Amino acid sequence: MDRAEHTKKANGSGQKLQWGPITLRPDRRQVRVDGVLLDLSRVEFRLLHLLLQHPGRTFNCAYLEEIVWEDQTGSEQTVYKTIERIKMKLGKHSEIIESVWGAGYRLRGDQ
Amino acid sequence: MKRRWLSAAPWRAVTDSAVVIGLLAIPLFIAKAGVSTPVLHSGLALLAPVGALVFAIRLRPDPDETNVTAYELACASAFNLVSGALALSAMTIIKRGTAAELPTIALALSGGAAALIIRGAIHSARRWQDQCRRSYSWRLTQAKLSVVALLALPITFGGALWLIKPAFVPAGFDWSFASIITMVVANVIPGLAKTAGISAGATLLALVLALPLARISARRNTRRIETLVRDTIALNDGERPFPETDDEEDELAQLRGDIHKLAAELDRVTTDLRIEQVTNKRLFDSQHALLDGLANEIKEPIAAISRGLDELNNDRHLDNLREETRRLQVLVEDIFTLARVEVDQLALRPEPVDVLDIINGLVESIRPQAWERARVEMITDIESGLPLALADQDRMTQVMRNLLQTALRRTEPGGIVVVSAKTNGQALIIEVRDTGKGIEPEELPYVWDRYYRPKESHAEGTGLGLTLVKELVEAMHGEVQAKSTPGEGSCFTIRLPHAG
Repeated sequence: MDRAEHTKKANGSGQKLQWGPITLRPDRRQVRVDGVLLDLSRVEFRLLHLLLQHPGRTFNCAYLEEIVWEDQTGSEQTVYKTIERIKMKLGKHSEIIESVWGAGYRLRGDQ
Repeated sequence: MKRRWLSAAPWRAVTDSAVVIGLLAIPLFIAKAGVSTPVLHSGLALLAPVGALVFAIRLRPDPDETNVTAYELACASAFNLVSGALALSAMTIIKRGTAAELPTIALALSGGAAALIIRGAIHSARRWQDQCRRSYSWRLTQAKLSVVALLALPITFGGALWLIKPAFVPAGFDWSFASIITMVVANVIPGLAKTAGISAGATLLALVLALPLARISARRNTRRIETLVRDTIALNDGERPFPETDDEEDELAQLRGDIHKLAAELDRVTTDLRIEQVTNKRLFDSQHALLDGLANEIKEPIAAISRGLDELNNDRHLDNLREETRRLQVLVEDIFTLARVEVDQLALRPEPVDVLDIINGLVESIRPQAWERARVEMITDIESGLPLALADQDRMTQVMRNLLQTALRRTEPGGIVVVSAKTNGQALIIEVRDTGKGIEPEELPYVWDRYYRPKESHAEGTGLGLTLVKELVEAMHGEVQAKSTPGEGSCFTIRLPHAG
């Protein structure tokens, strides 16, 4: 699959997404955890959006970087740091994002 | 019932006979006041032979049959001691001043000898029965002799009774208990013994005279059976044809005819089987030849195309062609390997193999395509200082390539494929894990089946890859295993023996 298609998919449908305590509204660029609005940067939102679209599915860092950082300014280190920031903002729910073999991330599939 | 005969241990047989002697002595003691001393002594002395009979039919045969004579002598002596002691002490108790006569004492002490004689008769009867069981002519002889015995016994017994005319009941008998005992001991038993002795002697004589005649007559009748047996043995040894008829028309002739038919049928079936065997072998050989020929016919042109492409200049279309040709080569190799595994023709050369080299080599060559085509990341996780595996280098490469390709096909864009290798001390454990959609539990047992492809799969592939993996790994004395969590991914494990 080429990159344009993925980008469209990641940003595409305006439907509300819900996974465990997280609710994401693409049309308003809003993410709430337990009803509390999170203050997310653009890449953080895009990354979380991608993960929420495919709960349980693993994405490797290079792929996340390619899809989320369209302008190609990212690196695997940037992906790692962004994930850490999102986890911090999720607070007690940070475990919902898990690392897979140190090479990628996914939303825990058992929510 | 049958177990009561010839089944007791020696001490048990002696005890039983002593009990019988004791029981039989009771009437003598009750009647002793009215019975004369010699009669009383004779009665007591007679108890020893009666006890001997009980003992002989109770005592089991020598269990280890190594020294039958010693066993019988020892048991009979033990019995003699007991019965003799019993009879003599009874006589002593009721002595009443008169010493017993010498013959009476001898009779009282004769238990052991009587027992030996009866045991000898039992042994002979058993041996005779064994002989009859083994030979039909002896069985016929026995049948003829038993007719002689059945006729001779009553006739001789009646004749002896008439000749001796024993006075069982003396004149002026008063029917008191003491006189009945006296009558039994002094008249009935001696009279019966004399009659039975004469009758037995005469019957025995008749039997001995009849034996040669019975034997000759039996042999005449069994000769045809013996011929039949000889012919059947020859048939078993492969002699053909089996003689179909003799001159008679009885059951034996019928049996001979049936055996003749069976032998003919057996020969026919055997011939058919042999023909089929030869045909199968020819078919099998031709399949081998076809496989070899086909393999060369297909592989050579592809190799030639591949070589030709390599010599041309670099170009994107050429790269594609090269890649497709390479895939075709691998596929053809897989198909023929699988076909060879099936006809047991695969030549495996197990040797110490470094799986690290194989895995690294494959991952290096596949990783760029995996990223380019599907954005799949391939990583390796290999324990350091891993022992060598006992495997065939080429086949092992084929196995790993198939596992990796299968994992790649299962994995969606952005996923990860991990190859790990470790040891559990006995075996090398290689795992290929992916983050694909996984396999439903009910489908899991069928992933190794030929042409199996995951449901709703749009993936390419022949469905032969995992079958080949399983066949090859098992041919190298390894094991395969598949696990999966739907939605998260699958894990394929192979275990291979360590080298040395």
